[in-house]
Amino acid sequence: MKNAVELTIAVGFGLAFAVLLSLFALQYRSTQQLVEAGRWVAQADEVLTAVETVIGDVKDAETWERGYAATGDERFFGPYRALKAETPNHLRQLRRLTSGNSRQQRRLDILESLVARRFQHLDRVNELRKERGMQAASDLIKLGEGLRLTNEIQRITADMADEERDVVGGRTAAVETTRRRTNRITLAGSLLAIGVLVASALIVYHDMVQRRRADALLRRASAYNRSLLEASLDPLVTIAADGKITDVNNATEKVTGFSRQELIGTDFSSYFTDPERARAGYQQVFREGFVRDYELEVRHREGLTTPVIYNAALYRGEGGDVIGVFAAAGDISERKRAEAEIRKLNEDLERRVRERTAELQAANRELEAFIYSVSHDLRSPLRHVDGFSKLLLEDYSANLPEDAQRYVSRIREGTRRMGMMVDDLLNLTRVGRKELSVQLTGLSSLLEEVIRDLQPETAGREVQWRIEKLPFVECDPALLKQVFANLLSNALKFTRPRERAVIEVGVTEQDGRPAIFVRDNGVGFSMKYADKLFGVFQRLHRPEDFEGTGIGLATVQRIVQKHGGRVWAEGELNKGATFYFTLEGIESCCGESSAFTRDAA
Amino acid sequence: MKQQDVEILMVEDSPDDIELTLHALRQEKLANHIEVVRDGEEALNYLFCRGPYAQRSFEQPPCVVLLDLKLPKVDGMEVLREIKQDPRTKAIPVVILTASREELDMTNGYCLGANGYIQKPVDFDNFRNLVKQLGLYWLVVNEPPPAAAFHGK
Repeated sequence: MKNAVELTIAVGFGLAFAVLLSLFALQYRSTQQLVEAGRWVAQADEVLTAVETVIGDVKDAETWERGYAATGDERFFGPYRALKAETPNHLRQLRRLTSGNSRQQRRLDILESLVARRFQHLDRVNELRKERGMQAASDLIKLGEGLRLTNEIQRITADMADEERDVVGGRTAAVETTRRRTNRITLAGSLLAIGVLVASALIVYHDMVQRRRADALLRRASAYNRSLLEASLDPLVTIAADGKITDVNNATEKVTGFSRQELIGTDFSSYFTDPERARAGYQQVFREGFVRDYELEVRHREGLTTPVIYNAALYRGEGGDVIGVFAAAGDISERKRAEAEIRKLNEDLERRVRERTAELQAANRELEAFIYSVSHDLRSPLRHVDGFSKLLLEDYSANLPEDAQRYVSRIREGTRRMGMMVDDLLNLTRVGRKELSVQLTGLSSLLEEVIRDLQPETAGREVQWRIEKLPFVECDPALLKQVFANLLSNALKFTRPRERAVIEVGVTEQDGRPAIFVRDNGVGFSMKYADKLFGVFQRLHRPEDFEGTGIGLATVQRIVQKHGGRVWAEGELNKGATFYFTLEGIESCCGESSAFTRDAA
Repeated sequence: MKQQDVEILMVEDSPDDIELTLHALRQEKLANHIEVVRDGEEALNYLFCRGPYAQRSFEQPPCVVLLDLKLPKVDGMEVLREIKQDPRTKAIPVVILTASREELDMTNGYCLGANGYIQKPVDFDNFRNLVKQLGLYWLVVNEPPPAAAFHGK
């Protein structure tokens, strides 16, 4: 495009130059012709003058002859001789002037002979006058020979003059024609040259305008690019292949504290707290074409550091060759700060949870230790009351009235109940404090042991045991034995009014998990109070109906919870009750096949 | 029944417990040779023949020591430790008789060399029965350690 314009301009100007050069040559030749034509005219004038001179000579000679002839005065004779001597010179002059024209030369030949004969005639006339007088001379003149010769001379000189005039006229006309043509050509050529120049100038102007427009566009694009770079709040940098900074934006100046001039040409890695890692990232860009979310820390010249993540990629020139790396950094101070804060909050929270847990555990331990210690200390005075009241009855019954003996018995009954409560409380706190000693335990055999231990309580009663096979469980067997002991003794206790007690133990399913249940046909309870069953000292019956401390089910719940399980009860007044519990270590299948039904009599 | 000056050393600070225990032993005719000390220090003085008991001899140890744990001055565990550390006394049978059923106490007691651990029941009948059995066992059934056992051999 550019080359085409330049070629056009070169051709245009060359053409115009050639035209002008030709015109100049043409004009030069035309001028030369004019000058030559002028010379010819001058020469023709000289020829005409020379012809006139010769004619004049002849006329003057005739005049002087007539004068002599008329007067015979010798004074007319002198000029005549002078003319006769001069005339051949004038004829020679004429011959020289017309040397290039053969026709004139031939005429000149005739003219010379005519002029010569005329002068001969004049000479004869003059001789006759001198020798014979005037009459003789006059007679000769009257013969007319002289006049005829003069006429002849006039005719021939007129011819010569005409010839000269013709030649000059023809040549001048030719020159004029040439000059006119030349002028026309000059005009046309000039117009052509002007046209070519104007065209070239137009092309140049057009090209210039376009270039200026392109330049303006380029400048605008460049300014736009620059403003885009500067508008970015993120530090941007371009780095050459040798690791030297080639350009930066304002944000980079701010984050480093160095000016653009100071930054350009320096090693980019020196502005990071970890130059080694910065270089590694840079090499990664060259290896893989880019890096994403590359964490670095920019060091300000004042020492302040800014955590950033870099996204960087190779950038290439028009030919696709790698020029360097374009890298954009994102300030992540805020994110880092937030992360640190979250971390700190989490740590605080964890620490507080730990502290609070420790506090709660400590408080719990303290409370249990207190209950334990109180229960302990209560036992000794109870033993003393019981002991001395017993001794009173034994050693002094004879001295005690019946009422007094009954009162003492009531005292002893009270201490006995209190003793049981204290023992149960101690047991409850012991369960809470005890570390589980877990082992795989067959619940069926455990249950058999419990039933055996309960035999004294079933003496004299009709009790039907319906025992399903129970699973193996990962549990603390001593504690699980307590659970069964408490639940079965409750079942025995609350079926006491029944003629025939039926107590079932088995496995059912609850929420997809196996649950052990103990069911009886005893007095049951109202579901209104179901939530009170497992509270410490909570009792649903009067002590004279069913004895108890109200701690047994609380202990059951404590043990089950320690095993990661749940305990609950269903019941209906006078229809019986069912207690369920789950255990974390319970296996879904039943391992022991010792289901049995036994009637105790 | 062995003829010894003191058959049972009872270390007990509660006068009620002392009376009830002695009453039970007397009923079973086992309390002829029972010595009662009221705190740990007194117990150690007695066993190591010091202070008021300086005239005692290591040659005549009690058949059994009934040791309460909660004692004034020196507590029961410390008394047990000193008895079982000294070659002159470590052969003496020591039965812990206490209100506590704390597992830690039981563990420590046995580890220090106690020869028995009994929790005093609240019920007097049970208590009396237990005291009777204790007396019968240690004074009648059990053979006391021979004299050579008290020379650290």
